[in-house]
Amino acid sequence: MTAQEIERLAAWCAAAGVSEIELAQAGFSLCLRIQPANVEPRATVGEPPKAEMIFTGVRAPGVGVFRLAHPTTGHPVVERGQPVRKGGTVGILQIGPCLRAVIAPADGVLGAALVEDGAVVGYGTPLYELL
Amino acid sequence: MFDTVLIANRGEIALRVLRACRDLGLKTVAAHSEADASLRHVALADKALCIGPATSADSYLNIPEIIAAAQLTGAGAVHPGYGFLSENAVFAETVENAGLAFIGPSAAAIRTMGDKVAAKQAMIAAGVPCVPGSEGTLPQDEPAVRAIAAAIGYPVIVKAAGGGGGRGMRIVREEGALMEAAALAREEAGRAFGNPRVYLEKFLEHPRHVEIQILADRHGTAVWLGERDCSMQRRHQKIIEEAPAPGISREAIAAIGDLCARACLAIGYTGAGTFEFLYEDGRFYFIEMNTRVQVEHPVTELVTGIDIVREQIRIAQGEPLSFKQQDVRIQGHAVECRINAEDPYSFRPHPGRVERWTPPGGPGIRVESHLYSGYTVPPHYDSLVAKLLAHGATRADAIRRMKGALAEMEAAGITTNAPLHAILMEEPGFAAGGFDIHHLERLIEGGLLDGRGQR
Repeated sequence: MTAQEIERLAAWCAAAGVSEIELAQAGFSLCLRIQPANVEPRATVGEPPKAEMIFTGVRAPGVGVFRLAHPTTGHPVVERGQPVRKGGTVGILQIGPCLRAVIAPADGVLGAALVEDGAVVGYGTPLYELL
Repeated sequence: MFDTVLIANRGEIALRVLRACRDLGLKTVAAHSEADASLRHVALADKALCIGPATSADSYLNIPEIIAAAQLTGAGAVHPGYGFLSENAVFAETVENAGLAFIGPSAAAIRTMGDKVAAKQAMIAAGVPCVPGSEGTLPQDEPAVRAIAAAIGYPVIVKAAGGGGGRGMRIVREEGALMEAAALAREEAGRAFGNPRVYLEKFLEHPRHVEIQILADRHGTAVWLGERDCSMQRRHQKIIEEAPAPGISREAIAAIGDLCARACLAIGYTGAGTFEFLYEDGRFYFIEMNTRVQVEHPVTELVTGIDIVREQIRIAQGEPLSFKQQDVRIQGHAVECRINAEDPYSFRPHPGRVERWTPPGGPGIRVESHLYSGYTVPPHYDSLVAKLLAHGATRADAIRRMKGALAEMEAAGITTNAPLHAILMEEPGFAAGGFDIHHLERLIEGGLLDGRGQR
């Protein structure tokens, strides 16, 4: 059996939901065990997931200076403990004269801000817990 | 004058730029993607900022985010490395317009050299030899066509003006076949591209790839740092480079080097750059210019002792070059092997976690790599993970050292093409030197890799 044939066989098994298959011929045997598709193939066992990977709160959409209060009005964009809707603006990133909205990824109640007002943040920096 | 450089790249070149900045007493900012937070230069930089997700289009190619990152971190200059935005004229212009220094040539120079037709015209004007061909479209008139072909010299190739991808192309080895080939090419080009215009160029059967490294400051000084032979290629990707080029006289290199340095002054080029040539039967033919630092620049650094990245940054600071043409001496021979995270026989990419990284060492060995034990090579980018370089008094010495280095190198957990390099170090054509750009593909077609690995 060539590598290509084994590859094809593995693809058929995966498509058909077969998890294990054994073949035996004269002088040749093959055992395929198919991992379910939702399992990350390179996930390292025994390594605790990083805090960032399970973070489900509000993240920075890009590079900028994090602002708790809207720079033009001076009022807080949202208060701690306030319910927010998915897609609602919960913060501001300032890049020179430009402002960029920080959007809630889901409905929830806004937790504490995780970075200080005026801090430079990058793409994906956690900004608020979302409870 | 800037005191902080934002590095808008990743991998080994980002680390190389960081080291050059450190030597110059400059601070660094690593602008990295979400998938690259664990890169070595990110850990070593004075500041690091994530500029976007793993996808290059949203991070390393995202001009507004890179500019914002530079402004927010107090960087005064941007080093683009190679690839990504390094030859993007719009990026160079945007960096300059934001009041930052672009570590590279002007946007205008990038634009000129990035356009094949404009670049060829600029080179012809500067006296740099190009592939000879018809000036513009080939006429219909038979005696005129014959005269053009005779002036270029056989073999020639008829190419479609509006084409590409091999269609509308005809190789002609003798005058008797010329008119029929031109007619067929016109017909094919008309059908394929809706444009029957064709032109004629000299066809090179066995060219080598030989390139000239240059450095030009902003005070009217341009120097050439010798040549590199990069003929060991697969699918137009270089895998082994060396300097000097075997079997080409120093006088011939000096003549073409002088022309390149003069061309830099003619087009107002500043910074580091490379003129790429095809070389056949003792003649050079310009193909293109790379307006950036190249992957293989350390080969030249080993034989000249000049730090190209450091000079590149100093030029952007407005400093004059720290040496003159007559100070440049080629000492010994250097070879570089590009180590890719890929299967050495099928060339399939093989990213993953590097359980243990043990780089080679010893006299004459240099390693440029961002790898460390426990680092995971992400699947999103180019597979280059290390460059092994060997320097010796002679080519044979350098190759012997390279063999040792390849055997010493260990990257447990990922698969690399080091075994392919080990095979090539022993290959008679490579050992002899002076092979053409089709050498590796010919070897593979001839079965060099058959029966190796688990194909």
